[in-house]
Amino acid sequence: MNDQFRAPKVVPINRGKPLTPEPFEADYGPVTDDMLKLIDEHCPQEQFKDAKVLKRFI
Amino acid sequence: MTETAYPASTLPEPMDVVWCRFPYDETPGKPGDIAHPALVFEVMEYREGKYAVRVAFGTSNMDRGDKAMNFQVSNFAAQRAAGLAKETFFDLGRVKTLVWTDRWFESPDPKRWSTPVIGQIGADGQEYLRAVLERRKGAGLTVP
Repeated sequence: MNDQFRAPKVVPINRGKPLTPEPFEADYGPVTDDMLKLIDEHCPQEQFKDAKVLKRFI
Repeated sequence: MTETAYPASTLPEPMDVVWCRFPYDETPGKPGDIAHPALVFEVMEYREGKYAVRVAFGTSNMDRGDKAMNFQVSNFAAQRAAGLAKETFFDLGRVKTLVWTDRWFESPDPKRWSTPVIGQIGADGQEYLRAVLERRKGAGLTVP
């Protein structure tokens, strides 16, 4: 008989991929006024004034 | 800076959570800002074949006094459905319309998300959001 100690078999609880993607780990601070100004510089909001709204949350 | 429009087939729906990039500040020595999750309120076509989305930006750090007037996603299940790794507040007073291109939106991990859409706000969250929007209107605050 084998008297040597055998380490218990480790079975992962979840063998498959998660049903939904794991959330993305990140830390995101407040959006500052400077950040909003940069948006206005690079993506002027006036260009959207006559836009056709396709879908909206109501 | 060149940018590529995403196909119309990738356009988000209202109440989708998208991963939003910010432009780098061009001040020498000043680091650029990091990406943020953003909540989609509107999808629009501003020119033929050119699309944009109106979003409220999310933060994981909000002053206590502002929380009641903004949309908080703190329930664990809601966070997961929205693709968020932590409690997030969507600042309903910080809303912008951005062109649906790779300059402004990206997938945080293309192996997990093939588009910049990382999740959705469910029906319960939407009902809570409507209540928050009404509270903002009653307080004379802007709404998306």
